[in-house]
Amino acid sequence: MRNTAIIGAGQTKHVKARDDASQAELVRQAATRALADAGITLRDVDAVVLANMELFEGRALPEMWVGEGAGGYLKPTLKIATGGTSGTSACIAGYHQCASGLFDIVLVVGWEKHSEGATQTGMALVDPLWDRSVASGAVGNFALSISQYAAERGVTPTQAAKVAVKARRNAAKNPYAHLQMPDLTVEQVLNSRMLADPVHLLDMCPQSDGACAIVYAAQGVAEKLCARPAWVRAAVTRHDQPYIGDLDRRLVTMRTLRDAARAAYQRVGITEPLKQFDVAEIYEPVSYAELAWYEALGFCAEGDAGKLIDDGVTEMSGELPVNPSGGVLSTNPVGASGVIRVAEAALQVMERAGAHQIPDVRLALATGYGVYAWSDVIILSADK
Amino acid sequence: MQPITILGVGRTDYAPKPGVSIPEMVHVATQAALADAELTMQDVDARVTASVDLWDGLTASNIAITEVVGAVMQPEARVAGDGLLAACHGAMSILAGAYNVVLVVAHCKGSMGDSAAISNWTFDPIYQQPLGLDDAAAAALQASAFSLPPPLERPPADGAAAVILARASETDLSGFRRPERSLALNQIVNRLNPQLIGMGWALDEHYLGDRDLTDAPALRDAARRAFSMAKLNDPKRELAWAEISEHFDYQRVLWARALGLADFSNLNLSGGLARGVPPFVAGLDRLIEIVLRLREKPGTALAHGCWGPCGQGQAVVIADSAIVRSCDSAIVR
Repeated sequence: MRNTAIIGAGQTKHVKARDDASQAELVRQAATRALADAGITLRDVDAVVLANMELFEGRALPEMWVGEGAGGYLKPTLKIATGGTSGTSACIAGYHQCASGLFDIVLVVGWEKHSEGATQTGMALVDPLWDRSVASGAVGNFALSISQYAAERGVTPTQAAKVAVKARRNAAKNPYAHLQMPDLTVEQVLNSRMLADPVHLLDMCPQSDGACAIVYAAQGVAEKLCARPAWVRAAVTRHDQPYIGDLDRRLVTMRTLRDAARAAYQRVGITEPLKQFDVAEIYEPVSYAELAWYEALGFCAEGDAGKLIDDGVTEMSGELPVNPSGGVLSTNPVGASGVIRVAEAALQVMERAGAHQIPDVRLALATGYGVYAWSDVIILSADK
Repeated sequence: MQPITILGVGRTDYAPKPGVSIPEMVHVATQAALADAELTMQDVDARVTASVDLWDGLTASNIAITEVVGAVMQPEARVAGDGLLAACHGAMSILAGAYNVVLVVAHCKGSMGDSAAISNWTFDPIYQQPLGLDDAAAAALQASAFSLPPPLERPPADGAAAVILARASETDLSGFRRPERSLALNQIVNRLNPQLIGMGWALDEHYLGDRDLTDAPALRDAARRAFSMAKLNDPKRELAWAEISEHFDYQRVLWARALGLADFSNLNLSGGLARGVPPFVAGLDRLIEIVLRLREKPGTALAHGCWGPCGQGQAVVIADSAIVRSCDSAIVR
């Protein structure tokens, strides 16, 4: 396997509705910015990997139309679509393409334009025999799993609200983030409209329009183009049962994330993730999920996630800053959300994160989440 | 590139299957491929699936097949496109050193969807979709560029196809987690198993008005990459046969010419797609055809897949009948 690094990243401004730009234009904007960040042009790109959840916009093979925006014309171009993990899975696919030795430079672009579709309708298009009649979209099924998780691990609505506030406060330092709510308070989260007990409106991620791109380069090329590349040290995927009823206490166990993290940590020699990682960009579609992911990722013992947020350990100034970009809770164009996690982790390693840069980042974690419980784990490092 | 062994192949029959679900079809193809490779699901490291949500009427259509492809607590990626593209990606992940054995599966239930409606949603929503273009109308435009009448559509068919790819060298086989697995694979690779030695894929222009519909530059580009990787200098002479995806009759000449195989006599000896092969399964089915033939007769062969309006997406795979003698670590070609 060739050593491979991220040498550039770019994204659009994420908003509720980008009426000024088509899907192809969003992709074009993110790709152009990533190429500029990497100091290369489209001519230097050997292959393109795209990510998008086509049914959210009701389209078939959208890469046919949008691929040109990423410069895919007459280049090896393919699209990965795996639900919420589409972006991180595309990043892993791009990594494999570069590490294979066949391509030196690979561009990965994820996008979603929720304003042109009906996301909740798309999410309800599940198995017609067993699941569709009880399909409840993201909010409903999370409410079920969160109730179980909160009861078992003792997590409180106030602790979840602190996660939501942290995300939006961090997002205020990120000019590309969708939700800009620097003065949000815990009380405002707790008093926001109840969507499905115990999930309040401000506990949930938004639906955003936007795109994000990263540029991979192989060893030998990466060092010439980037003073401080973000080397990929591990990339692991785990999928799980397709029926929510078959998952054993989803958020409590989150066995895919636990197992993917274990495998990735083993490859890199991570034994104390809270101490060893300098920053984490994790895919938290709802405030409570971030707490559950703390436990699955080994940031704390089971049942201690609430204490982690109470003690400020995952704040920007804490021992392990989690989601300094504002996370999915602040920006969520689904097909791009996973790419954003990887891009933001890479920007931290490359020291290009701007106002939300964490000092001295050498080791960064990015995760993807999708479907009921699918997980991707990617570890980036300043060292090969 | 390092060759990749094609350990097993399997597929369903192709016909409307009103009483058969998508997971059931995929299960049949997957189990057939595993049996053909004399492997179990535990031997598979990762999966690459190919399907299109709108055809399945499911969001993230790989969710429905997670269990039957053995992806529970395992890696899987879905390529939204033709199965041959998924095979290219599976091969890529093996070359990257990420996995040793990859299961590639494609499925489509063509009889369940409305081809005109679904393919209309493939066209850009600003200029072409409002015109009512669909795959058949686009094909009619392409046929008219050759002064041919609108082509007949293939009968709708349902089905799935599966291929198992593996790293070819003994060094890597010895790194497998379970000793008995290594032994099993060594036994398999001593059988006459074809190898994937070249691949290429590319995307053409989307707007039909921007394209010369009598040409196929994306296919020429994909073929150039595949031939170069396989070190084929004169494909027409060096290839023993080729199986191409002519979703419409007129495409046979167009694709053959772009591949440099005009007047090539051993084209689609299987009968091609005329019998009705589901979209997105077709390319992987072409690969299965050449694998089965290569097992019987030595040579080098080409499989072709295409998808999207007038074959906007194109993929080419080259395989040959090299025998990996893993007992002495030598690759004998």
